[in-house]
Amino acid sequence: MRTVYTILSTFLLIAMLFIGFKSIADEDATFSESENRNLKTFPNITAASFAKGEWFEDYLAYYRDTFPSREALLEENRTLSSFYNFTALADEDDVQIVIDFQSNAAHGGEALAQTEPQESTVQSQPMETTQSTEAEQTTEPSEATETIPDPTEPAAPAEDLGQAILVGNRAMDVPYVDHNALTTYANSVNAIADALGSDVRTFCIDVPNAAAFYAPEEYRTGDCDQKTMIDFCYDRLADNVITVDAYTPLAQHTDEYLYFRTDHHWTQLGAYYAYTAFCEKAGLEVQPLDKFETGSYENFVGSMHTYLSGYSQASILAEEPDTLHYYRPFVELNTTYYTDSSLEEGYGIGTICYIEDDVPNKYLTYLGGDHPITVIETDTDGPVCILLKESYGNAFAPWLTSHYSKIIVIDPREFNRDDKPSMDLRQFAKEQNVEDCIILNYPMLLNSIYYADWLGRMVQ
Amino acid sequence: MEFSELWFLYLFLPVTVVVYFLMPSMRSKNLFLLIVSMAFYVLAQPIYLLLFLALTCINYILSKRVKPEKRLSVTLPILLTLGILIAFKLAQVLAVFPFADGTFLQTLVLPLGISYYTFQLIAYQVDIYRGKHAPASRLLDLLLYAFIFPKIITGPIVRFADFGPQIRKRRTNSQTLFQGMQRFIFGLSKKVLIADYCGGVITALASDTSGAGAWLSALMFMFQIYFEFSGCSDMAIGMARIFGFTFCENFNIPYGAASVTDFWRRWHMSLGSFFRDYVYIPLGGNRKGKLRQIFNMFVVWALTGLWHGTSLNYVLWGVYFFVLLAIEKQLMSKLESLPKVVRWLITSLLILFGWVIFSGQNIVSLFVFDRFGSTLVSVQLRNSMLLIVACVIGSSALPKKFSQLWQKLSQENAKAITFKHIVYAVGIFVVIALLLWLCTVSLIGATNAPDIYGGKLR
Repeated sequence: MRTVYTILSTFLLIAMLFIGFKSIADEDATFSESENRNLKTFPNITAASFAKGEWFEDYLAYYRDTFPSREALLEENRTLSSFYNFTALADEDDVQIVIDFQSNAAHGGEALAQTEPQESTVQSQPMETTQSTEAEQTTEPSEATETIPDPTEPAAPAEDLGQAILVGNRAMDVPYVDHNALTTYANSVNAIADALGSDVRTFCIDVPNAAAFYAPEEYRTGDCDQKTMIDFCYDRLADNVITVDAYTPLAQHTDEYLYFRTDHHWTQLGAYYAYTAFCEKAGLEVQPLDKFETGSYENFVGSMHTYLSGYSQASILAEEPDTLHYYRPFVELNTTYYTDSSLEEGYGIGTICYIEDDVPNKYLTYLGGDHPITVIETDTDGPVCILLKESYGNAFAPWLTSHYSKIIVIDPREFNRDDKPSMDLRQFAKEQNVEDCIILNYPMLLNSIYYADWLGRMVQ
Repeated sequence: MEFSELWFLYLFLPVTVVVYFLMPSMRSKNLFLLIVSMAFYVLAQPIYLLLFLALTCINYILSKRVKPEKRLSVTLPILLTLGILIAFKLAQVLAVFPFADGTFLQTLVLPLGISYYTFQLIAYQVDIYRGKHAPASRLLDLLLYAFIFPKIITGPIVRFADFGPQIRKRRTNSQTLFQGMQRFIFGLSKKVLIADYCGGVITALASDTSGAGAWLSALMFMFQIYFEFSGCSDMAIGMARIFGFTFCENFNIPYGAASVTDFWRRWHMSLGSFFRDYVYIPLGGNRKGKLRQIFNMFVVWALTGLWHGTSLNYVLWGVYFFVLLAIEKQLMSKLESLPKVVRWLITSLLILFGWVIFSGQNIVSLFVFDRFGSTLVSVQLRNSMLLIVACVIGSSALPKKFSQLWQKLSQENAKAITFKHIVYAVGIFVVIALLLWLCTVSLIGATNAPDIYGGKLR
């Protein structure tokens, strides 16, 4: 009998050893496509870090991140998770999955693509349509390496922003009110308005996300009530900030395709209704939708799938992907993005970009994703505006092209912190003769204390 | 470092096992195990290795002077060992006070396994004093007893009387290796495939304020702590078996207990027997009258609480069980007249309340009836249905009965290997290979950290 045990034990040990040696001998992966993040690198060892046990903890984290066939095992884990998330008896309209929504990590998930930093896969040439007259630069910088987050960058701790839920074939991020963050956000907006002075009109557009209209009642009322969050924020804005009610026009068109089901963003049509509300406050004439040339991209499986795809139930998002419909500006455009506020190192990009079929993140259509600064120059006879935004602003910016000669799109996350470049928005606005400053953000970031802080740093 | 680390599973453990079996003699095997155990400790927490080495050496020297029935001879090593444990625990208590701001107290880390380590050394000295065994003849023996890595993190608390004789004389062969691997992987599965997911449900319910959410959280914690702790014990016992050692059992279907007294005979048995043998009985046990017995019980349970942690919830948890046990002792005859299922239900409920106190959850939250239900709880309850079924079955007597049946089938017959034996062994092999695979998948899944903002919000 011992012979049998010897054979079986040897077999098991050899298998374990084989995996173990492979784990140290194979080449380490550095980026996880499915999670849209950099993997841990081999930690530097110092006497102090070793003595405290910190080095070994870091090493274990690195080992876990670079384990052989990790991506394939993540795929297997999706199947395993169906045991722990048993929804076979649930109705189609029931909430299938509820998990914490954090600013970075959460249990479970694999993505089809990176959500933001994927400029390298976006063609910078405009689409070949007769309407488009964008004269893009064709410089080919190593864009992907610029936008993929630096793993050595000091990281803010993960922040609980609410929950992610899956209901039917729609996944949503549900914000959870943080009065402190909302107040800080309002203070930051006030500080920007004060810094820019009376010559610049400051608009604040707090945009609801899909959960405000499509989530079950429990996830859109009480502490999850986005209208209340927006009102709370607006009540704390000074008189020199012009508030824009984007909630009402969006609420009036909820039977239309305002938000993606597989992605946390709104559609360009959703952004259009916010634009109509903005025009009303800014005294601009709304351009009718039929003036814009349209097109679409099929098979858009977005960020919410990334976030939830550790759960087998989220496969419905991949099976029933979104379609992205874009509206191309009808004015002449020249769009360039820059890595800092000096506007010296520019790279051509589209306002409405061409997306290859194999790029899952179709939301990169708008401005090619997030960049520190994107400047859209138009042949419109109008003033200059700044759009301070996170990625919701990308789908909004094209609507402004009919009214402004220059739209300067700025991502506050890319300035004045850690090793990112500095920027003095006050000085910058003066140099650019800015007349309007539009601050547009969605509720997950309105409730982020970090984002509110970074926004305020633009004028500190 | 946990035994469920991928690095441990695929590098440390298999390399250690292979080299161990290549060692030519028991002496070299023991020396190798000691070196590996120290390396394990150094990697996990290097700064305290010297402290524990010194403490063990001092205990070794002092143990030579311990004479049976000469109390003074055993006092010094006990005070020294206990003093170190108390000093670290006290530092933890003091660290929360304002005067500790900025002092070393706030950065002081509790040494890995100190509670197990010190208790074993105390047991070692007391048992010499009681004449149960002689002092370790070699320093290496005591070092191996104190440091051997399978039990250094989560026990069980093994007595030198049991361990000592095995140092030089034990059976290490392919059968013990296979049995050990089997036990280790079963323990790993309890922790990774059940306990960690129970923890996930608790985390998911953290923001829920409904009464049902509190009950579900409490239930999942009750299962989590059992599968985590008994899983770690199984891993320790399994690894010891791989190296030919036999460790005492630590759990015996505790949630099948029909009284609180019975529960504590089945839960963390090595700790319970330690307090019985080295605190309760020396204090007089039940031999000095009822009042003294109750006082002795109070001491034991206050210490049990403190042993688990120095914050108030642990002390309250200890005192809670003292009260329950004291009442139960008075009412035992009446309680025994109740049907067993009723006693089991009452006991389970009392244990659950105990875990609520232990976890620091507000016990009042269980009695929120005005907003009892919530969508989150419904979703978690429905999604966790299979997990809960697995928990109920896993904590019942069924696995033990099943295991006994398999063992019966596998009774080694020296004369002939039957087809039945091979089927048994291969069947077990397939199960443990599958479980190891599932644990690996799950451990990798736990490292998943999708970033919706592409790192921009960090």
